[in-house]
Amino acid sequence: MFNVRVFVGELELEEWNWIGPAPKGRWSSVLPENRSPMLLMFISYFILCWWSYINVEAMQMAAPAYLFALVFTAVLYFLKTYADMGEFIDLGNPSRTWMDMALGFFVALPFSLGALIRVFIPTGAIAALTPLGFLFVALVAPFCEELFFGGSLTPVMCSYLGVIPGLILNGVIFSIFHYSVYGVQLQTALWLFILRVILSYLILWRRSLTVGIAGHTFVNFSSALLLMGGG
Amino acid sequence: MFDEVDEMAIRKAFFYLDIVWGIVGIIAIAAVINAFVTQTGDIVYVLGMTIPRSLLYVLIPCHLILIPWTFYQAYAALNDLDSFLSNYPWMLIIALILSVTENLFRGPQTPLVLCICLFDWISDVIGIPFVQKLYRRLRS
Repeated sequence: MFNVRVFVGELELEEWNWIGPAPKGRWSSVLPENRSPMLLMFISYFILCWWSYINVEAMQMAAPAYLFALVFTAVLYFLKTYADMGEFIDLGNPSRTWMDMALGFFVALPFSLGALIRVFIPTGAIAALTPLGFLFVALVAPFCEELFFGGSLTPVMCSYLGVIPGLILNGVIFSIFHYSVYGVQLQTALWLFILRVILSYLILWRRSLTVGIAGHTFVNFSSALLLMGGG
Repeated sequence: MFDEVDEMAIRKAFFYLDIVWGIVGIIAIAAVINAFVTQTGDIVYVLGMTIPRSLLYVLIPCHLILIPWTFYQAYAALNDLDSFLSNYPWMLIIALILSVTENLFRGPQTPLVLCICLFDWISDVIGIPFVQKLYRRLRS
């Protein structure tokens, strides 16, 4: 009853307990093919984050948090890659990248529509009105948040706590982060919780951060477009 | 159609394409940084375009990121196919979002065409079938 089927290899399915802790290391997926894009993206996003920090006034609080997330996850990633320590999920199998991106966009669509009809208020409202702020909200924030919440926290929490408690705790921390950094309303925090749980589960299932980055980018990008248009 | 194209010819095509885009990017960033330093008003004139100064804050990091990435892709196309193929979709997505951001905030100006990100993502989209062919060849 409490078992979930997940990919543990290329096409290998295993059943894990939804609630109890799972064996350590089985949630991680760090592939040698992904070292090059991971390294390039760490450097690129660090430049963008630092540049936003010194040039966007509205990002004075958020940018340091993302810089910390980038450095923290970079350390975790290299520990996992070169010393096989800790838990991390990277960009997944390159042959499934396009499919993972499509899945991310598909899952994010209802949340984008939710922003469109004002079921919840998108975050980063002030920042998205300047070009660099828009870029930060649409590109930098999703990547950094997914690295931290999806790539690092999700596998660690699910290893130690089990799938359902891990996903719920991850969603709660994600909502609290947005509440404290962006000051979102309670209703928006609830939507963010649901989005986080779904994306984290998909990241675990596909063993790929690509789903999370694509979905999160789509939600933020469409929300920022909506704000820019004054909708 | 794509099966008839030689693999090395595809890799060389990507190599030369990325080299050209990289050089165009260097020319553009030189002009953008020059405008950033020398012009102080809200509107700046750069490469024949009249754009808001706030857009330079996107154009500068955009070029700083994409120029090295493009040259690396040119190198990887010939020497490290695995890296080239893994980087490809991510470079496309980043260049696409950078390009959309620049063109959204360009003001009354015509679309920003002298921009490496626009070249990058358009050529990347056109090259997808060739990349898929390379990927199948690599894995077979």
